[in-house]
Amino acid sequence: MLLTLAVPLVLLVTSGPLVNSPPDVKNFNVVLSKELEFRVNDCKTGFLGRVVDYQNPNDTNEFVRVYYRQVAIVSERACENKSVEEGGLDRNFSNLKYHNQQEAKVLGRVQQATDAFAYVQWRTVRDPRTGQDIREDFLRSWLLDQNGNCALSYGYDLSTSPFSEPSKADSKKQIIVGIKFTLAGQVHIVRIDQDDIATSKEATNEKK
Amino acid sequence: MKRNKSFVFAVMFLFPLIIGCASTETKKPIIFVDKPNSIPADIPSQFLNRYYVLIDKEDKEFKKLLTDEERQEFIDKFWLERDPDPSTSENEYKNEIDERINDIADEVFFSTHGTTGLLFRSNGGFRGDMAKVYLLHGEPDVMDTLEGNSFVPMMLWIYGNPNNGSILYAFLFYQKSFSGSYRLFSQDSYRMDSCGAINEVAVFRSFGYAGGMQAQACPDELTRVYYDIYNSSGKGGVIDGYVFAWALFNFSQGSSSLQGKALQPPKPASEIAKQSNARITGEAPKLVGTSGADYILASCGNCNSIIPAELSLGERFTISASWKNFDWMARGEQLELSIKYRIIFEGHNRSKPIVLEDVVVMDMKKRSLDEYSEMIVVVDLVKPEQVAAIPSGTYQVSVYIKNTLTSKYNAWDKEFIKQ
Repeated sequence: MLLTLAVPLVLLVTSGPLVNSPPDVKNFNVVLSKELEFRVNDCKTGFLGRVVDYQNPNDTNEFVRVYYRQVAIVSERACENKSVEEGGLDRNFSNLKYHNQQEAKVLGRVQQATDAFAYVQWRTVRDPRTGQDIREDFLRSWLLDQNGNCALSYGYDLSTSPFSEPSKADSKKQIIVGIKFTLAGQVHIVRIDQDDIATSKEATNEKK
Repeated sequence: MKRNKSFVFAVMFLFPLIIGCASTETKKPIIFVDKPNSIPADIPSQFLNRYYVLIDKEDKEFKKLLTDEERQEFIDKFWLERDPDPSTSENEYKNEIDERINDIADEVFFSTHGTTGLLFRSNGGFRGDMAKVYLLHGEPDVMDTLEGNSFVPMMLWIYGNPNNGSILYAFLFYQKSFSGSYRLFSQDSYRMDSCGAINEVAVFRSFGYAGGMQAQACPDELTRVYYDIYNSSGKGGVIDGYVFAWALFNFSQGSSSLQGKALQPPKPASEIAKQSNARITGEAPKLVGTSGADYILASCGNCNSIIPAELSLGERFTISASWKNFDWMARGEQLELSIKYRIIFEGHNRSKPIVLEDVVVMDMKKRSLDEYSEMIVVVDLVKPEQVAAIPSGTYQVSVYIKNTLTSKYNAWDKEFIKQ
């Protein structure tokens, strides 16, 4: 019984017909948009892309989440806090604001060239008990693999996990460098370059 | 006498009307100036005078400007550099300074407890020491005045350190020789000359004081003055005399801050931000030249940030894909592909990982790519002898490639069995 249910649930199609292509969200409304990011440490954040939720204007119960990837950047904010004599709290706040502005500018530039690499499509229904919209079983997911082929899966959501590897500075230490997306055996890794997370002090020394 | 007064009133009321009628032709701008404190208006021509405490080396440049438009442009840039939060349309710093200027005009300390009756206009006005400290640091956390028979009136403004509650800045003002107006006491000058500090505030200067002596060597009459100060209480009961005594030769508690430094124009927020260690890495350098002539960008569907390619792990470690999946740098008739790679082999026995990393550069004739539009490019990441040197075993391999021209990348995580 389980087997008969499982077989129609999963269907992988590579380079399949148009019906299995990712949904066209060109005319959909954006309902949520956020950075695809992860914390490298307290001071550094890796920006890998954007996650955008779309709603079908003709069928408001239909949603599509699209994961876009970009050229990965690492943003390191000033962690050496200024002493109170140097302007202290105000200066730290101000430095952060300037850094955020710079970060937004760079993100704006790198996000001009993105690739959609994963899609999740779902529908919502009204829960008669709570009156809230909840996700219906209908679910389709697409994932671009490393070769550039798109894989489709029915009934399965994408799974994500932190992607780590030994640190370049200390090989005994594992550090998170990105996010690994998997869908029915297919894998797509979005990550940063380890060389981009060298501390600013190390970078200064290298320049010297 | 009465007639004279009514005449004065009549003139006072009529004068604006007369001026108003007369000025309709000339249309000269009316500049409101607070006369007692001589506060310059917020207009381009009075910029240097109004914001004198913030001006460092800019005055020479500003004075060279001939028109109000040029001045306004300079001023806009001046404030932009000092805006603590560039994400908002407001310039919070300018607003704060303007508020402080208004406070000075409004004589904000006139009814403050401990300093009742204190006026900026009686103490140097807008250019005086009191105004200067107020413009730079705002309202002190605590302030009080001290009076006695053996020393001149003193006033202390204390700014606390928000981190530990200690005294960050203690600005001491005094009425030198009972002048009637407060001026800053130069605490920096007396850091190593406590006796000189007491001598400076004593009503009767000591003839026994030769200068540059330490407190213990002070003449008795100056020591008595010191204890008079020490044992007094502030007029408002806010600050005790011993703090005044301490402030005679100290400016800051637990730090090496100097009064002189605290009175310097603050550095612009944007300059401080540039000097911080914040940075953003990873973005590709801007492409130089024209697309098609100086470089050729990948023309595949989904390759704005990715290099779609097939990874092969065996005796050779290769990536292969259509040439259209790569970004190329054109060097005359040659096209160059530059790929940075990093491969990490992690053995299942938790031994030290093997790391191979380098940049591979591949040349191709531009003509051949035009001729064979479907050409598959195979890039050898590592040499066969490097693979041969890897000990036998099962490895989890992380492969990362990045185009050095555009920073597009791809990554794999695969198992590799070395026979």
